[in-house]
Amino acid sequence: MTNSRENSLRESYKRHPYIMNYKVGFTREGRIIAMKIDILADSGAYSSQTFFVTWRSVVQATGPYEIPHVETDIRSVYTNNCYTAAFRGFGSPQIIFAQESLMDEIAVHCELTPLEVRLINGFKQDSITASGQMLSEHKVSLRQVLNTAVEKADFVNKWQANREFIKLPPRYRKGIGLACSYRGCSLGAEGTDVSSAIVSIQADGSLIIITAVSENGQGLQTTMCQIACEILGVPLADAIFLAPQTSTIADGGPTVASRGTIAGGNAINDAAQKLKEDIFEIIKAELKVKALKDTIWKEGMIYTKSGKKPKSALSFKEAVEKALQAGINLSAYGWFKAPDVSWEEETGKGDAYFTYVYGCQIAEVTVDSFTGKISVDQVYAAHDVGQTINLLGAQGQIYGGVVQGMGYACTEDFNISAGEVLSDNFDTYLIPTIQDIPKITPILIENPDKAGPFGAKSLGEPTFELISAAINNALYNAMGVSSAALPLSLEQVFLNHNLKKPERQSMIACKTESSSSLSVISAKTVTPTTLKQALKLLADGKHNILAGGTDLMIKMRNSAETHQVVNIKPLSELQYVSLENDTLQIGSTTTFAEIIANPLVNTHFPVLASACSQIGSTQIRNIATIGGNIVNAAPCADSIPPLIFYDAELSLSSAKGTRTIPMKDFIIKSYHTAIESDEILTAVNIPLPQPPKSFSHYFQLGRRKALNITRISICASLEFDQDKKICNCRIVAGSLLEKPGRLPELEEFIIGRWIDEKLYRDLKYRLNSILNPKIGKRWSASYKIPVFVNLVIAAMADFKKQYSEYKNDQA
Amino acid sequence: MIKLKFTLNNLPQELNVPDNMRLLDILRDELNLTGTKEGCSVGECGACTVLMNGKAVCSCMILSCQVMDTDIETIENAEQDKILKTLQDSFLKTGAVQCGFCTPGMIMSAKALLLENLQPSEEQIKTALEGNLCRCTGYVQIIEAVQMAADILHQDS
Repeated sequence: MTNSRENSLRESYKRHPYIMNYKVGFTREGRIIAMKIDILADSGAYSSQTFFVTWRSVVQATGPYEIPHVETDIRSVYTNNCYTAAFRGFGSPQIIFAQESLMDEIAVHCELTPLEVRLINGFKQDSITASGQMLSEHKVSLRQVLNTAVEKADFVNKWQANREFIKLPPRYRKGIGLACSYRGCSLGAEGTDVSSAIVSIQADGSLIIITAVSENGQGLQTTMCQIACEILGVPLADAIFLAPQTSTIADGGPTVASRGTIAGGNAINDAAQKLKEDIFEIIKAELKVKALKDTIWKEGMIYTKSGKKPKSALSFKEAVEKALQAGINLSAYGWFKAPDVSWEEETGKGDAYFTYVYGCQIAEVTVDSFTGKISVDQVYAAHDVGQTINLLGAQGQIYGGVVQGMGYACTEDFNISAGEVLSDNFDTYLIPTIQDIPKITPILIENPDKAGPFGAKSLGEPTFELISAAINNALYNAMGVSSAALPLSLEQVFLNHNLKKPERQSMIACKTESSSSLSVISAKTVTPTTLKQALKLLADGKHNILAGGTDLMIKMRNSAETHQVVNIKPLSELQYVSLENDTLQIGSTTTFAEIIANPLVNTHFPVLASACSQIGSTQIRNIATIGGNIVNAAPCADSIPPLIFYDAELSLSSAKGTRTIPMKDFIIKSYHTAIESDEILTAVNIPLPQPPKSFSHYFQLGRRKALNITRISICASLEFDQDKKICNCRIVAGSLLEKPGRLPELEEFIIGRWIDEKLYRDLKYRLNSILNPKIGKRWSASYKIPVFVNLVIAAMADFKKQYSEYKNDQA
Repeated sequence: MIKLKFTLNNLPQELNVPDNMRLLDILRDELNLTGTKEGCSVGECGACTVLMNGKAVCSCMILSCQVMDTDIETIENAEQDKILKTLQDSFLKTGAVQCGFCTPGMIMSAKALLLENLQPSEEQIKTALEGNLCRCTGYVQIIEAVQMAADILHQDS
């Protein structure tokens, strides 16, 4: 049985959406006096962990700041949405987004830098938290993490410099923003906080390590083994981690709350120390030392300390042998019980957690003010971890947390409507790709904590919780406006509100009476050896053509019907690129990988090459064909606008004969074309562009930098006359209107004009009147019309630049 | 049913499979090669990436009839193949594996790159792996792993 991704996204729990109201009182100097917080949390259909998630929010809602008067209320409501529970951060990312965005607003009011306002209010040693806890039992390192990150990023200088740009805005604007937090380690007053472990020394001196906390990929096995090996002075290679059955170890609580290292590690520490003491009792006479502290356990050896020089004594293996001979039990059970915490539900007062970690993340972004697209360029992530145990694992937590947090900040929009999940797979729920990641600088700060093994504390969740606020503050630095909502989608940034997406068009298009949620393909296939055979098979009009399959496979998966499939992929007569009689011919089953690698395409049709290189991913381009892209006729199909732009013609064949049709007339509307059910698209024919010199421009907008569904695209070319006036022009819009096509009214309007400020102003007015009636009431119109206006203006500016460069070259 | 002939990890294969099977199902259900993972079934996540004639493809997008006469390579070939083995080692050394679900697909995409280019730039590595999603690592150590494997293999060549 396979649990489909769609079912997984429907049934698994999600992060709680919050609606937050923050009211804050502060002095002119920027000192915060009072904060009133009112939060509404969406619990979905069940309460699950809502009590605990919202409790952490309450404790940390004011951030790491000394605020004398605080009132925090949080209410959770049942809805018919997906139920919500523990998700990396556990109630902290939401409140940090609100509260750290608010800090930057306070800074603006008081004419302070974001750093100054945080230093004025930030926790110091022995500060009192909102719940009345004095932070006296650990090093309060907020200022240290802030100052280290700020220095490393050269934050203040960059922040000032970016603000200057707002006055003279270029299209792409730079922004830098920071956010900091304090976070309670482990479970705190949520519940009983204990953990268990077994360390068992084998006769050969190797260790078997068993813990109640479990490996999820975070590197816990390595960390647990490292702690035991460090204590007993054994090489890491001599330790084996065994994942226990639940019934074979005492309940040590869940592996959550970034508590694996601190809770599990303390239990290991307890077990390993017991063993060390027991072994020492056996060998102390031979070593001629009185106390364990007079020995050094290192690299499989036990040394005695004589003065400052370690003296070789005996190997760990020998000591183990002696202990076993003496009948000593070399398996020990370790137990961790967290230091006491307290909480009074009625007053919201108490020592909520036994220790805390502090973190600061700084994001540098580039915002495309024409489209609302944020690119995160660089992130500095400073985290006080107490003590780093596993450096590679710690860095991995930072990289992973930052990138996951970026998804939460910018693209991950869980679309649910009336209880129905609409973003149910990775084509609609967009997590960052490898192309989207910034340069990340991890900064590990160490203040060993008495509560942790070797002083280690927590890292997993702090790495995630800060970045959305840091990006939002960077957005403010770039644009002078920040957002009050997440995610910072194209629409949210550009319009300052999000647009409610309807069901995706591809799903509506393949919805028939036979649509199925079983996600199983039903097909009968036949693979002809010649085109003639294929056409004969198609004559009954009941067959589907399979070439690359990237569209058909999805369509078949969503349908309960049995599909009759003709596989034309092996037909070599359809897979070629050739130049004949000034026409480039592309066989219909040529893949996009082949097209973008073809020198003829790159030389003569750069816009087509650019567009095809942005389709899907490497894997998709390796099999998806140009013919399939055209015949599927998705509104976002990337190859179609350039083909219309270049006046391509399509060759269609059936058993009855062949015909050609201009690309521009082929698409009737989304997912509907002029192809007959017995026809195959055999070739795409593109006439070579004729001189005189024309300039071309292509821009494609997606929410990510790979695996994109194109939101909007523009292909444009211009020719100039002797007077630098535009004498010829063509502009094709993709993913804008009901079908891709040229915009003749726009082209006529531009011809005969100079490219200048007046043209830009006129374009805004004219384009709105051209596009408004054509787009109608589409959900995205309020975003797409002004963005397309911007893209046309950007194209004109680019042409002007290309023209002057060309003239300079000629001169 | 289709009588399929193809090469799998350098060995000839012949088997009868239903028409509606995807290459992914053939590998996992018919041949018990469960190293290849199913992550999304719609070509968006790359967990099911295998090499077909030396190119990275999503095996969830390949219908059984398209497997005929092809050369397929899966992560199970890591035991014999030098590039895969080197990638496996470098993924471990750089911390490029967390939960591990994306790892087989990542390694296969990386091998497709290294077959063509043993001195890839960071940009080329990103393009080769752009169809492989990872939720855990933030990709940074994966890029380091591919770079490390490329350096080792380049020095050996």
